[in-house]
Amino acid sequence: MKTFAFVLLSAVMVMAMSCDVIDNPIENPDVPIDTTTKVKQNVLLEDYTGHTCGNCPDAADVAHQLETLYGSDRVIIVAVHAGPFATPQPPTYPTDFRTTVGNELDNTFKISRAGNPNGLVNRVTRNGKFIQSKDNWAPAVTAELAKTPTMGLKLDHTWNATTKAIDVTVTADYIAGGTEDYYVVVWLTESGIISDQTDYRYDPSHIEDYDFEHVLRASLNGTWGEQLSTTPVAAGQKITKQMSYTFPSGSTWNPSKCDLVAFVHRYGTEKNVVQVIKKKLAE
Amino acid sequence: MKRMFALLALVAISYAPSLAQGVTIEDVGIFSGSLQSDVQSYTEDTTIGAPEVPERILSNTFVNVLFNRGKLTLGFRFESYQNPLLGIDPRFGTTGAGTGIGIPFRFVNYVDDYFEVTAGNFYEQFGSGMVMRTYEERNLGFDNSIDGLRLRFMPVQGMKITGFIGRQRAFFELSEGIMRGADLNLDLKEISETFLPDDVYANFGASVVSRYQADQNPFLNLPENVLAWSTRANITVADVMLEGEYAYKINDPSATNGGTFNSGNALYVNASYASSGLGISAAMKRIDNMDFRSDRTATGFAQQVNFLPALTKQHTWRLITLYPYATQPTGEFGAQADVTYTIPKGSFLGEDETTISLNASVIHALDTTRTDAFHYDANFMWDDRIFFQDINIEIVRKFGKNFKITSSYINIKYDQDVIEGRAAINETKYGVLTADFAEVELWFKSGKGTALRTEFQWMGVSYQEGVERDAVNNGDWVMVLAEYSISPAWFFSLFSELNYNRTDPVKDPVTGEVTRVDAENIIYPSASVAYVKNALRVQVGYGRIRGGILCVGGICRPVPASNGLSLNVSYTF
Repeated sequence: MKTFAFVLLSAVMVMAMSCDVIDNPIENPDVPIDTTTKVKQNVLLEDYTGHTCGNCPDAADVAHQLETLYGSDRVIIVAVHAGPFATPQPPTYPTDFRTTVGNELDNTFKISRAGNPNGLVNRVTRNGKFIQSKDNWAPAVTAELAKTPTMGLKLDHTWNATTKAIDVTVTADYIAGGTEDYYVVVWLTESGIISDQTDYRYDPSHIEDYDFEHVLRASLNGTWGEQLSTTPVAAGQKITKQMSYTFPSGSTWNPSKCDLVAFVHRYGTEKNVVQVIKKKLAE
Repeated sequence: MKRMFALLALVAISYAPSLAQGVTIEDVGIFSGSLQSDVQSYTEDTTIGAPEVPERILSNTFVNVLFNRGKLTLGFRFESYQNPLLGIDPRFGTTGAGTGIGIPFRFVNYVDDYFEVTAGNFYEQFGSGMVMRTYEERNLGFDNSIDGLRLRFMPVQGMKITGFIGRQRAFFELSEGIMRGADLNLDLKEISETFLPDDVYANFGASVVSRYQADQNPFLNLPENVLAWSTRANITVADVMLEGEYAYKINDPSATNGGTFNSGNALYVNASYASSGLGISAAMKRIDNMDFRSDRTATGFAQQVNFLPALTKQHTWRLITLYPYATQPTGEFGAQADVTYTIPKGSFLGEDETTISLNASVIHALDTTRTDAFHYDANFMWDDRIFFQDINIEIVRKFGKNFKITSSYINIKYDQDVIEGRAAINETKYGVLTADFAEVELWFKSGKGTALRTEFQWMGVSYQEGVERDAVNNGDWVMVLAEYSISPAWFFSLFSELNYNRTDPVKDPVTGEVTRVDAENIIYPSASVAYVKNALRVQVGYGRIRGGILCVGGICRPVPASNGLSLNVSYTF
């Protein structure tokens, strides 16, 4: 019995010593500079947000910080406006940023029900968490970027400024073998949209000229995209898919602020994004 | 020692309703358990802001099964969320296997005279819970049990040492952080009866709890080991009781404290006096940065390790529950006083007892100043800003055995910006609203085994000049309820809330000025029938339920409005 008490008391003492008081909170991130041209693993950071979500601009800044640190070609942000915080609230928040695709994603992944801001990082489950809160974005993105890529992606497109039509060709280069659950999706995003946003970091928190970046506008091929191959694909093979899209009539989207985001994900199984790339729509 | 053993055994088996029930298998042991299933249908209702639910029907089910033989208890809980009811965290339906089905709670417990061992899931509380309290509140979708090992040691009567190590439940996964903790509790009266005078009792305790979570943030140096400790005392002299607890936590930048590297602390002091017919208590509490979780990135209800009790009366009258207070773990200073007096039978008020309860509380902001991006200074005393204030009186009067009246008046001030987190720090957006609430409840026994209970409630709400108001829940309210019971089998309930004097904002297209115009009244009707037979209870109902904040035991969560049918089944064996 005495041994028992001794063990417990020792445990208390050990714990009392195990605390980390931090004097200097800021760490300068050590980013290895990789100048090789080989294919790298990129990250799709889906930021689920809404214009009346007062904590969301802070999360958007975390995403932007990661994009700046690692490069916008490697950290690809898409802002998905969906859920109660994205509902237009005239007269103060009149803009409707919601999309059919965004609503379906939000309903499937149940993100706004879990609260906003929240996000998905390459749609991977990390430490038991699929939905990642903003404080998890940095560690999750860093971990994903360090992975060895299993696929390279190439996106070619033409843009007709008169008809507002886009033709896209996506080539998936299988570095490792793939399964039939690989689906390719191409999204259209727009940045530089000025409208109303709640931001709890400011007083008043109603920001009338907030700059909305990376807003998901549409999918060129549905919410879940299209299957790359109905049979498993061996390493070294390439598969090409083509798709077309025309801006909705009367759309005010600014093509010079639009990006095309192409990614391959494992639909209906592991969910994770295999690879992602981004390209400007028009100069 | 026998008494302590009995107490511990009671704690060990308190996972189940009672061991008095259950199925005894000769020479094996006793099986017991319980079932609870809540099913709800949802119809989109834009008037009240009830969202479209693609599944149309959602349900939560819990089944507890317990086996006991002598000193050994085994148990588990099956949970199924198809999908989680609105207002319950959807991650119960998406984590783990993603099916919403699992056994997230199972344990083996062995209790002997001097020690107790629990392997698997357990609930634990150190002191008042300011550094450690795990519990289940399934109606809020809350369960922060620890999965791991717990040892208790009782070397002498009146002394208890508890230690544990494990990970906290995170929906159908386990939390990222590893939790370890220990607690010492001393009951001087039990240690030695002669040590203290006859009518003096004293309890002392101390706890430490620590979390390990790796720092993988490329931008910040985060503490990987975060330690919290607390110390407490409870002294009773005759009719007077004095209790206090102080807790401290080292720097723990997290999603809920704005990433501050300040340390945290909390102080709670309570004094009370109780004699026949009269009870008086007064308490104060100061909290500074004491939100403690097993995962620094968790928000909402997820992965809470400690519990900071609200120092305000938790009202149960339906209309006033629209504006409940929730403790602000980042910082608050509160005080509460409570007096209950029972005017005895045969006084100037007649043959029956009359009970009068007076209660008042006020919660202020802490007086803090930012010093840099990661730190702030906090004065011990409070800031002028009031988060919440409540003054209320309740009178209960019996008239014989068959008639009882309960009447109350409540006046609250409620800072919607802070309590509902709807504005920037120090911003006045929704402002402080004032609610005046009054109710009369009449209960009478109408015959053998039958009783009728009616409630009449009113709540008038006034707002600060020029502030925004909730899009749906604004204006004044009345409510009428009637409940008829034919014991032991049938319960009928009908109630309706009316929200009137509502307004909507309108923006002038030229000047941009926002004014408010009258809006339609909203009626929220509800009806239910319950049938009870032995341990089985089945309830069916319909309700148009307003959105709001649901609080149980001082923790709250937003629940969206809903419109639909409900079925609730419970059974214990």
